[in-house]
Amino acid sequence: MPQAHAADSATGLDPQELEGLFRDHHARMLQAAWRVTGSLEDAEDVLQTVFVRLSTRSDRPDLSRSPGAYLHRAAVNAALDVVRARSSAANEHAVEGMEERIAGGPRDAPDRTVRQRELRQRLRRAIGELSPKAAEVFVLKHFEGYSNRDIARMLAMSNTSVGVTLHRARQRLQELLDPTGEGSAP
Amino acid sequence: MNARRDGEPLDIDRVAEEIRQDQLDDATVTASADRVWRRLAEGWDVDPGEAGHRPLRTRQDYEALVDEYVQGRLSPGRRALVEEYARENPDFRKRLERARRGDVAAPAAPGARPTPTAPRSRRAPRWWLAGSAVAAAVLVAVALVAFYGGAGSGELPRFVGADGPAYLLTDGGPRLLDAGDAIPEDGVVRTSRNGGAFVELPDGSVVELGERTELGVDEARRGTTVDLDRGRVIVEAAEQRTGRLFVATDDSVVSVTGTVFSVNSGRKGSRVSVLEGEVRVDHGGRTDILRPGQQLATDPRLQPVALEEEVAWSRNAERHLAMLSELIDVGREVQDELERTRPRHASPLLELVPEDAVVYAAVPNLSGNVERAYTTFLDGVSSSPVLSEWWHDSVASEGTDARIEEVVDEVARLGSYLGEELVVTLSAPTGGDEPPSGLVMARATDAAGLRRHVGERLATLREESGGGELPLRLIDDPTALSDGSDALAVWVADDLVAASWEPGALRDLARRRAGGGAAGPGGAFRERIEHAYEEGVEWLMALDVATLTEEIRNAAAEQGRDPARASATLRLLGLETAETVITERKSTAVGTSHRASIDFSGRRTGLASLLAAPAPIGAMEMLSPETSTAVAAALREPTDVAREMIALLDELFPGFSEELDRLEREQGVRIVEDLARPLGGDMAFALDGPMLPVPAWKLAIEVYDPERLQRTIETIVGRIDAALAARLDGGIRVTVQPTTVRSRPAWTIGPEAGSPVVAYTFIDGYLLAVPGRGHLERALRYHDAGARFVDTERFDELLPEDGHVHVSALVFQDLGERLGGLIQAAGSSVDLSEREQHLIGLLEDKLSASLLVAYAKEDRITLSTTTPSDKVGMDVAGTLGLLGNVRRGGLADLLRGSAGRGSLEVR
Repeated sequence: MPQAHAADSATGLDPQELEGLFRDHHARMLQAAWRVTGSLEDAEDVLQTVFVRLSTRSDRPDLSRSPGAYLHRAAVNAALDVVRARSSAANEHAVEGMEERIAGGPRDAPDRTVRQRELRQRLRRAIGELSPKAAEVFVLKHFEGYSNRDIARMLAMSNTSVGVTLHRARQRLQELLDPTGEGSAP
Repeated sequence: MNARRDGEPLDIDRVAEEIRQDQLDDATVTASADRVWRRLAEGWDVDPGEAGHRPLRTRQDYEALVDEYVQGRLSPGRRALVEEYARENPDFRKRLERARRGDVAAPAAPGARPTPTAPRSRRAPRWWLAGSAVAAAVLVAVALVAFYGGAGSGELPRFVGADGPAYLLTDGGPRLLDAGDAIPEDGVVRTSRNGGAFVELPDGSVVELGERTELGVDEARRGTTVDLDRGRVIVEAAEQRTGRLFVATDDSVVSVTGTVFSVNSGRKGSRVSVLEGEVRVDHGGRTDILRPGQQLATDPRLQPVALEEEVAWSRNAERHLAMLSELIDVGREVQDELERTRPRHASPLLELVPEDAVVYAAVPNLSGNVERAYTTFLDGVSSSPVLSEWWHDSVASEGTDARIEEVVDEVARLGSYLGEELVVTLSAPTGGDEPPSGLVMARATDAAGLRRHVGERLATLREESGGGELPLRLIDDPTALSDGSDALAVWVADDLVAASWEPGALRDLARRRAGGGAAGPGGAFRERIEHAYEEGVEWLMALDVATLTEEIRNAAAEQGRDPARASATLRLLGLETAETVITERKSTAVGTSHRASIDFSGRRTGLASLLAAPAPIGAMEMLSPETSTAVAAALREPTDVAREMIALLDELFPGFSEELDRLEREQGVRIVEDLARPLGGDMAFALDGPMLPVPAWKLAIEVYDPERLQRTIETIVGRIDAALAARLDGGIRVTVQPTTVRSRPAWTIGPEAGSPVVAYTFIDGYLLAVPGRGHLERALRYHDAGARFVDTERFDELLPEDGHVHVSALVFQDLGERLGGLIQAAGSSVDLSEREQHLIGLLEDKLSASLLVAYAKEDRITLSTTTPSDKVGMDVAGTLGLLGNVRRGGLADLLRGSAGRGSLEVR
């Protein structure tokens, strides 16, 4: 669990500003982190990490245009860091366990729900193997529902680059999830 | 899209959609927020009791802030949230407006709770503390006007009716739509399979939805936007009183003020077709104006389809098509212009080309395009405030616009008298300093009209010049033309117009036309041109290299130099047996194709013989997916090439071989045996990896005898070291150091004390050299992981679609990718303005990757590249400089330059 650092050593945002940002944006950030990590515990860590980073930044981030979009993106990226860091089987087991707990417990869950959860975790693991940029674009598009135009604006990319990145991310995911190509749609 | 690993197939789209739908419930979010906030507050030493407990989630949460908002008591962040929520929720927006007007008695939305007694932040906003009530009221009023002042009529789009079931998707879930239902701003209309629907917008525009189409409508100050998520629509846009109507897809925005058009949007991109009026399409950083009958696809992979086909699904197809048929009559000029750019499969002018022509260029008659380009340009100017200002201040105010228009009109008018093709020929000079003879020809479609028009123009010019001699004269009979005039003579015959500065050229043309003399050029030159026409010509430039090289030899002889040396130079360059060069530019389904081919009368020699026949280039497999620029080639046997080059140089510079022998003995390295013999048949050089701090170059050369090559390298470096030691008094020692990288023997070359300049190893039969140990480690990691550039999609998709399995050489560049990489490398240390980021985005997008490939046969080398239609890429003709300006004296300059002092020095 990340530890909060004292904010008075930083020259960025003061605790009151951080407090306002937290109050206004935590729900959206937590939801995004939960979708990316599949774990409530990890999502809380992500939320905390983003605010700790904000408080310890020596420079002041530009939040004037859309603090919501900035923090949302920060949460997505921090959540992707978590997904990438998961490598040990034990860790994955713990993650799947967390999702089961939130969803109502494995014993109550019908087989279909268990399968669904397993598929989601496989997709998350595969996203963790994409390049950081591709993973971010994929998550913003498919988990967070942004349009290509919005993503292009957020990431200062061209629409075409977003389209190409998405296309390649999907191809890579397909390779990662089905290296034999057996399951490819006709 | 299904994927499988262990277990059942995984439908990526479906699973991602499930994840997207995942929502934590409010209680979980609140509990989590509490936990995180407590941990953070502890670290920041603030009171955890107040924050984190007033999340804005429901309508009620926002309702509770209306009074504080109107009174200007909200923090800037919270105020922005309320405004954002109001933008997305028209009902709430109205509620805010009512409150602003002071209509406090207006009932709040159902379920709204009473305004809480200011559980305000402990730090009240400073601007509020400092400001007066009047200032706050003004600010609020300004904010409201800015956000909502110009927004729409307040009415909502309405669902008119459908063939099959159509649904409204909102946060509350899907529901079946009935005729007359309003479509809220956050709602999405979805049609079913085989179904279709109509939606009427508040301004009276009607949007027809095809099957499985999804769209939302957004009313904003600048106009109404139809967000087409997928599927196809036909929009009958009403005349817009203010603002515009937009249709936005993932990769384009179509904007109109009143017209009928269709938009079809899918995974591959969008296709926009115009039936009536004019639309503006912004896509991929560029803007196009479309007029009736025109179509645009945002992705070259989307093939154009007939407009009839594009609207056939509509319930109003018959009406649209009837209208289209009328528009096709009206838009005949547009059709004519499209036809003019079609490939031409024969040229009646070829028979009239001088027998001794060495340059033949055929270009389409673009006069109509000039006029259209000018109109499009003016449209662009008028739609851009910046350009409008520039145009008005710098061009229109000086009256220049009228003159430009006059020139454009003149070009268009002249062009209208001419056939579809203009042919320019140059004949080799007959000797001495005489300039080459140039001739321009075109078919005259209206000779009488052209003669009259040019005559009138000349009369006007003569009058304006006070009766002086004009640089252009119109003639009726070239045989009566006398020599010694500098004016351009224009001869208009019944079906032909020709112009030349050389009276003789027009006299010869008249003889050929009358049936006397040879009909056009002959031999291989003629054959190649005819062959090009068989395959279809758009832009063509043919050079008779055989005659040109003969002229070079003759020029050398005339100037008293040795013709044998001239031949040797030509052989070294590979031009001695070259017969023709043909460069072509053609439109294809995906863009513009450029091709150049050099034909030889026999075996290629000298530099032209370096390339081997198309073969697998194994060195390419040493390049990683990070490659941004690469040159690779399959080469002839290196010892043969080395021997031939030495022999040719010896012929050119007598005593060269003896001097080389002496040097070889002195240095202990033999060019053929020690350097060429260990090498194999292919090589690649690339920029492969980061550009900073040192550009990550990579060299891969096939090696048959690594031990011998290693000895050669050590000898050469030893000699360099000795030379440096002698010159710098032992200041710098350069050495070859053995090392191990990823368990492989490797070597570094560089100063004894300092970072190596080169690191290399021998792997899979190749020498792999890079600028340092770290780079070698990285290259081998890619190699061991099997990650190769040749397997990447960006390389694969550029390979030309032809019958060749292999190539002889290729040049790849992906400047856009490199630019993006540099920007990323610069990272946050560089603060780029929004405009700079936009421009970089445009550049990144425009500078698309391109691939130039070469195929070498025994008697021909062909270069080919295709540039997507909306990109900047490589242009073979441009690269070779062969389609430059053809002007009087140009060839003479070329020949004089090459014979006297240029790169083709002949003595």
